[in-house]
Amino acid sequence: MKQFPVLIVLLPLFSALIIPLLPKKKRFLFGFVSVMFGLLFILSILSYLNVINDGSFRYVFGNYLAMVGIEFLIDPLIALLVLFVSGLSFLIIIYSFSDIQHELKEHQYAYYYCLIMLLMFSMLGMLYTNDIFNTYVFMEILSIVSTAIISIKHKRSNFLASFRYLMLSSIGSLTILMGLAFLYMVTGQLNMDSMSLVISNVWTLYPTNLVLAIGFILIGLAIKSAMFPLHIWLPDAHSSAPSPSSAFLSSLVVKIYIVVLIKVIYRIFGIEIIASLRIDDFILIMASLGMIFGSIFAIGQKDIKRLLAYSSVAQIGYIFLGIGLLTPLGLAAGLFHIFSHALMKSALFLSAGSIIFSTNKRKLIDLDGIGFKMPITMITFSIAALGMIGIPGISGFMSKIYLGLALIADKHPIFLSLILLSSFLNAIYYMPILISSFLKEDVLVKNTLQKDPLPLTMIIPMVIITLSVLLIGLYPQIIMDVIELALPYYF
Amino acid sequence: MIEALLKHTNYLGAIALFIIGLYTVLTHNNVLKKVIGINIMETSVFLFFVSIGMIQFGRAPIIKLNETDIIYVNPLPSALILTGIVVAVSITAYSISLIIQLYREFGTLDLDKMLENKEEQE
Amino acid sequence: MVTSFFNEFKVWGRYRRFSIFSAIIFSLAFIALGVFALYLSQPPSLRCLLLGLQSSLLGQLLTHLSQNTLLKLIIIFIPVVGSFIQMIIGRFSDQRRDISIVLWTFISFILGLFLYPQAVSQTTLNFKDILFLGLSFRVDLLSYIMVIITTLIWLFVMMYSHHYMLHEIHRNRFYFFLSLTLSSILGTLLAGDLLTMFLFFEIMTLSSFMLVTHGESAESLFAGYQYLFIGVFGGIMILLAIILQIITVGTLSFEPMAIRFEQIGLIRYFIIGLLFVGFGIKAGMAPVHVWLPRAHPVAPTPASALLSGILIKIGAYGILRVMITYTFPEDPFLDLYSAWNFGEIIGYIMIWIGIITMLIGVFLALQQSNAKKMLAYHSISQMGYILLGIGIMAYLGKNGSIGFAGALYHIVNHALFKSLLFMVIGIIYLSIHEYDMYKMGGLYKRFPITAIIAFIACLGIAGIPLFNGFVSKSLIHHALEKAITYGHPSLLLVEWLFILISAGTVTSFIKFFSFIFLGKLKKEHMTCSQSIRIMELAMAGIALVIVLIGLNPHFVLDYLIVPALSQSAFDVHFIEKYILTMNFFAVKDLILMGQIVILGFVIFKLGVKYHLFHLHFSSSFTIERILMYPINKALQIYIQLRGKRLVDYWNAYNPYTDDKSMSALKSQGFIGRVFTLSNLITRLHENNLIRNDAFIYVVLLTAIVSFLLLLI
Repeated sequence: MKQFPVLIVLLPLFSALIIPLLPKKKRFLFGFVSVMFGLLFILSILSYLNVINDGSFRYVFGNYLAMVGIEFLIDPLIALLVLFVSGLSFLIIIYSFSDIQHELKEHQYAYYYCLIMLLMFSMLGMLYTNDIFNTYVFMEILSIVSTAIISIKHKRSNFLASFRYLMLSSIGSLTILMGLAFLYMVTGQLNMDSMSLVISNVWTLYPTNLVLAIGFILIGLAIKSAMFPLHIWLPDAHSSAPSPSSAFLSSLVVKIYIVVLIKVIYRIFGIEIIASLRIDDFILIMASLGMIFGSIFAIGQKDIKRLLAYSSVAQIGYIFLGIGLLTPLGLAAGLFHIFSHALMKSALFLSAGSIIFSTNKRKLIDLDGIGFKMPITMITFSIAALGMIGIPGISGFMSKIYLGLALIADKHPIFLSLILLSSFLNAIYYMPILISSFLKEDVLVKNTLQKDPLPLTMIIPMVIITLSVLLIGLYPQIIMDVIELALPYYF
Repeated sequence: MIEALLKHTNYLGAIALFIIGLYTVLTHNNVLKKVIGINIMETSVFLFFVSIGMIQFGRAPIIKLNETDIIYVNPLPSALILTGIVVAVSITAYSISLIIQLYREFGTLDLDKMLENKEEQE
Repeated sequence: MVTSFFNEFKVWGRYRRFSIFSAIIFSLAFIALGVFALYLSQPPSLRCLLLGLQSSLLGQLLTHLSQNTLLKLIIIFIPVVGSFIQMIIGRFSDQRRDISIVLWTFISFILGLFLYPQAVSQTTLNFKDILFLGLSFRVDLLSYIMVIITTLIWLFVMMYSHHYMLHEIHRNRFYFFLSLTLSSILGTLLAGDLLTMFLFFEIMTLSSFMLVTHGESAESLFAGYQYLFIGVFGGIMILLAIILQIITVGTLSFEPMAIRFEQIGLIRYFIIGLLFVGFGIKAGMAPVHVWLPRAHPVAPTPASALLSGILIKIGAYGILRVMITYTFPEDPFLDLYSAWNFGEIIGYIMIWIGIITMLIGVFLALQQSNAKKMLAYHSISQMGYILLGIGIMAYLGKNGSIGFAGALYHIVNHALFKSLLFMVIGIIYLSIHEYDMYKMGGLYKRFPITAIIAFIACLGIAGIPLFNGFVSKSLIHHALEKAITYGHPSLLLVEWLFILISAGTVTSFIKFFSFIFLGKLKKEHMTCSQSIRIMELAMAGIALVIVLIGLNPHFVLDYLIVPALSQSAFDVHFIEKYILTMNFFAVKDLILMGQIVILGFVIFKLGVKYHLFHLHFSSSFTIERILMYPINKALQIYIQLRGKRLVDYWNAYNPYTDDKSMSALKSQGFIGRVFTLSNLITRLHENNLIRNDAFIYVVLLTAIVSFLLLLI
């Protein structure tokens, strides 16, 4: 049982190595991939149950001492995140079995799944690890793979978007490495826990180094996780990628970087240092600017996937708002919004992808009356969009309440009105899509209710994601209890 | 003052290279030059990292069995940088393959011209 | 006579099955009401005997049913189940579907009647784990009265709407959302704390939005957009108030909490202000009523009747509930008059808001020629009466029971006569396809029974004695007099305005009735089709209830409203002295009413002679423009500064309008300007941002690092 984290991390790696060697038949490939993902999901469930029952544990590779070796720290939050990531990616992979047949050529399927396996490997590794340089290595793998799954579709906009993403991403990684260098200069450790011990002793002796370190690491992670002014790569990248990739990128990849930021801020540096440097104010201001400007840019968009990408920018602002408060309530609210936004955004991207799959229409003007041709898709879209606006019963509403409570408990009432203003702006750009898809008449075909012309492997993941959005909206304790169990490890 | 500068040439050189690399990525329109800029930045970070490991009066970290009480240079940064170099090479390789595809599509290496022609599809 | 009545049977035509079924349900409903009235009028000790002998099986079943706390939840979910069933049935036959609709509404009505024992004992049904703070359902006599009146009117409107909707498209969808609205309304009424109420309130906004935009014309979509955005905005206000209340007071449930509330300082004004705006948007309160005159005329008539009759009452119910919760002290026997102090200030503000709402409503109603729009403005005005009553209730504090009674009674009465008026307009529209009052005339010849029913409704709303409007208006007037004797003398102005506005209402309905039904019949209308009997039967049902309440006003007052009062912290002696012994037919009130009617006639004559009813303001002089003027001006200046060729920026997706000319640009509303501004910002800045990405990174990096270094 205690070895499962290693298995969970290594299973995708071995599958990624094996996939190019498999026979190039479609069904064989899909079967193999789904078996591997299913195995991954089951292992993560077992590991999660183990952690809930026995408490958190550490796993050191090769039985070296933690200070000199690589350590995996598994606490309840990390176990839940791993479970969530593997479950959601399983659903997106099932969706992609049908979808990539319209987007990629036949000989590229194997490469695509190889890349997805490497994506899983790096994401799960980054979640588990407790060693900062290990995080950097996984981060590099993740940045290359995430640009690769955009440019695997050979279109002009993909290449441009992927190149820009790669450039900005590597600038970010190098900045992080520089910051890491400043940290290593002072502490001489690479393990996060020992680093935080040394930092708390050494803080007054070498302030310049630590300040430079936190500044560089923060900016580097801000590029990769799309905090406000540095989000510029996000709309191009997420809108031109194939739909399963956009779902992966927007729901999971960006969140993993935010989890790394949480680990850096809360585990390595600790909240006293961060608060004394006024970095929390910076994060709060940038987060609120992101919420407002993300929504304003989204209102002016014509293409549905670009609109959803800008909406991601706004929602990531919410998560940063929760993190930047530096209180247990705030961190819990931000972590809850990670889960709920991942579900809602993947539902939105999957339904947008289904619309593009069956009708090839991306512009919003062409979407009149599509609710009658594809009702299940549009119901998924509507429920997720209503969750973004903040209708009770869907998980977005719960994260707004948690964030509101955290903000007021910490005496920042003005950000609460910004959250509500941003919800209202969300309503302004989501509502017209819902209204025109169900109420306006399509110019070519009369509105009659039909079943979606989609294969079953595309409908089932959307339905399951919608049901889980509603489930977490009605019973948020499923996730909040685990988050509250794990909070002592971060304070 | 001059002695302090001379003692820390490594670090100053690393910072200077970082800024030069960043400037190159910023201002040049040619995509190949952007990749070169990223490489310069990477080199600077590696330089910085390795020079952290330097301990005064230290020797190369190879242990001889019957000698004790010898100061060794810190071997860990060099090991980390090996990983970093691998990462840098793979990023460069991937970005060059992207540049080849970009050249095939657009016929030019100029990023501004590419952004103007972005909307035309074949 | 009898043979002609049976000949009428053939007039019922193809829809005989539905008509017979509805007639049976109609009589069953009245029998149930009669039994219930009989049950209420017995003293409590005899009631058990009346309920049919505890030992018999039926009696045991009935008592078990009414004591079951899950009944509240069942009542909420019955219309939802019914909506799905009717969608399935509706594929085969319209008639069977409408029969099932009427049946389901009747079942909700009967089960609603059975809630009475729980309403008296105020049991709560709690679900601890859902939605983070738990849902809770509770019924007390205030919500019980509203549940009864909601389901009763819904039943009659469903009987009416069968024939009406045969002329519209997308019927299944309409009935689906109608049932969903019913169940969310019941959920709002049966909610035990603010979060549950908010949940059902949002569902109600969304489902009634589908009713407003049912016609799918450009006008309906515009009205729907405005309704939706303003409704969502109201929801956000309530959400903010919920969050603030959780932090400061700690509980959301509807128990009296004035003393706790007073301890949290000035933020209580903010909380209650937010809740008033949030619920007031739904209720048509004065500054935020702008969606009402656009949304109600555009919906199909059954939906209009229900929107105007019931949905806006839910907003008033919300305000009433909030007011009771926040201004009543926890311990009613604590003689702390200072605990009522907060209520005084809030009540005073509410009185003025009520009067202004009434004034705006009546004044703009007199200018309208479209009958439905006029009725919509009258809804606003009558809601002003209710808000006035609520304001007086809070202002008088411990003695405020008259205001409560007046407001609640007027809620019941207005629901009755406003839905009846909309149904009348619907029947006329079905035959002559015209809403403009000036183009109609002399229709009593073609629609005799409808004319009689319309006359009853007009007498009701105008407040003539022997009809129900008189009862509630005189209650509110008495409350106003009490407020003047106990309170601030500036309320004399309020009373003067009250009399003027009542006269204006009389004028308006003289205009309504005489322009439509009296006078000369126009030539093109001489051969229009006549009304359908079953629709007239449904309307006659409501008219009958109006007349019954008007003839015997003390029944509803003593058996339903006063027990509701006794469940709250009002002063018991005051209630006994003034309400229980109130003589509705006192000479003073009758003389006042006579003066009002004469004044109404005078205004009517003057208005017709001097064309006072045609004051056309320019289309930009709406309340919306005045309130949004600063924001509009700022946006306009920004657009003129930054945009050179505005039509270029219009090319992005703007669902609000299809018209791309400059004149459309100048005359768009608030939401349209938000779209234009966002389009502008996006077009101008997005490409610049993308090109200068690395530059932004460098600027930010330098700024952060230097700022941090400076801090050390």
